Amino acid sequence: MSLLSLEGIVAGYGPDVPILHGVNLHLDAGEIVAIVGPNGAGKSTAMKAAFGLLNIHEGRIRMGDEDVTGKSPESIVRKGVSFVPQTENIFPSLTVQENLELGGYFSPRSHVRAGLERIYTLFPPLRDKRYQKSGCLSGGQRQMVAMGRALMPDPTLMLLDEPTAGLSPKYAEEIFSLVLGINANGTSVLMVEQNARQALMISNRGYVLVDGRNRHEGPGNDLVRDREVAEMFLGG
Amino acid sequence: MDQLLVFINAYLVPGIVSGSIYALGAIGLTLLFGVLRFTHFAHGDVMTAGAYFALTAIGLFGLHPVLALPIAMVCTSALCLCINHFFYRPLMRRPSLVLTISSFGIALMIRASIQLLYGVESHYYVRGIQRSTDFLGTFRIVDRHIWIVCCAIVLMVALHLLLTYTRLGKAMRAVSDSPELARLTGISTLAIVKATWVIGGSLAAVAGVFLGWDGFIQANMGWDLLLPMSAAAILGGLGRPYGAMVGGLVIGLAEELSSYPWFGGDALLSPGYKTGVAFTIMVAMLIWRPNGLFGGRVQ
Repeated sequence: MSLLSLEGIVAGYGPDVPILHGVNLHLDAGEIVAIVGPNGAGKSTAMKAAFGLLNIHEGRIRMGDEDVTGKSPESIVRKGVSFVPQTENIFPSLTVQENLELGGYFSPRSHVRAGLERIYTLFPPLRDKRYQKSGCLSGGQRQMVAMGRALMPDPTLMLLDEPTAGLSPKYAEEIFSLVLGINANGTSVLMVEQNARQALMISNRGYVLVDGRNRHEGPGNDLVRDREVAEMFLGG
Repeated sequence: MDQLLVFINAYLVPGIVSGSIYALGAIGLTLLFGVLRFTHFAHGDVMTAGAYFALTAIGLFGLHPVLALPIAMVCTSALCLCINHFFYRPLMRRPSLVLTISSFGIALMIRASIQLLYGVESHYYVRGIQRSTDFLGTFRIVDRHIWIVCCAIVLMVALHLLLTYTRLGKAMRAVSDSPELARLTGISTLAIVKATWVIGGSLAAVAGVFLGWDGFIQANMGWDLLLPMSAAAILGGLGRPYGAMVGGLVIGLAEELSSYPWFGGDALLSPGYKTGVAFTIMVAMLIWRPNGLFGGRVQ
């Protein structure tokens, strides 16, 4: 049984004009799965659909054996799924620590304290800046706050929407190794990435979406080597 | 010495008192703006409702105005929750202008209901000469002014503690920062909106009771205060409760001190222009510092 599965999803931001035209994907416990594809392929849209942010016209979304089609983000986050949006992923006027604490909004207090310690160990630069406003941080550190917030409830699944967008190659590298670390701690990861090659290399499996439909899928390393995929958007 | 005494008793103290009242109202306006993204034009009339709830309680049980505060706060919060449920919530997905305009309608409804129930004449909480306390043997401050300022300070400190240290307070600031991300974090916007109404409504009720206590209770009293309260909220930066506290005090003091005879024997400005002072400050802020003195966020 998959941790998350999208079955024949037709969905859009409104009740008509679908952006996804029948997307299928699944993710098993312990996996890192990457969704890649050209601009406008519906990658982020597919991820948002899984998190209850879209209007689902057709198809089903399941988490474990539960049908969560049409469920709100508030209820999905309580099922142990966290979502890190690409932009506006921190509360800028709140301190780093307050951002993290809100990640544990619905967890018991003792859980929050342990969570903070865990996050500061994972992202040491945040410990020194915990009382600073997160809006004053650099791009890479903001991404750490965003991921830290999402990791606070110790989720079983984390959804990452272009976690390396706008970051320097050095920081991007760091984020990818963090994703591996997070995964090693038992959190499954579904991510959408523009840095497709690097993302696929660290992923167990990958999906290539084009025009809101599945085009390819397979183990990450195979997709990187696939000639058609390479020609299409990996830059040859 | 006499001059200083007059300055303190007749200008400074009243300035601080009306500043405290403006601040309490402006905090509600600014919190509601932060969380719901619209300017609540009925906030002045919510204050009026608070003043009349207290009037009823005082009439029924013969309470001291300060003891009537909790009753006014609870009733006004309930009123705000009802208004939110039946009027604003169904319009929540519409552009915020729709909410703003509908709040004008609510303002009229509250005022008209009060006029129907209580009539249009003025009422008083307490009649007769007011007790006052001497300080250092010279300053004479009416007891109600001491009560008003002290209660306002206590409430503002309480709000500060709530916003800084509680889960609810942090969640409120989070929704004000980014409602979308708050939702993704699992914060129930609906609960936060309700909490904001309770806090904003309670503070407005207190402001209304203080306003009535310091003068008289009349159906237009809150509406007339909308301008200085908005000025205070804009001065402090919309969405910033601490800014609203400072803004309220600044506007209150500016209004009172503008009629002090700074040069020679005549008032600098006739007291009739008090409202004009608040208006001028508001316009000047909107032109030169629309984000408020402390650089708030304008949507």
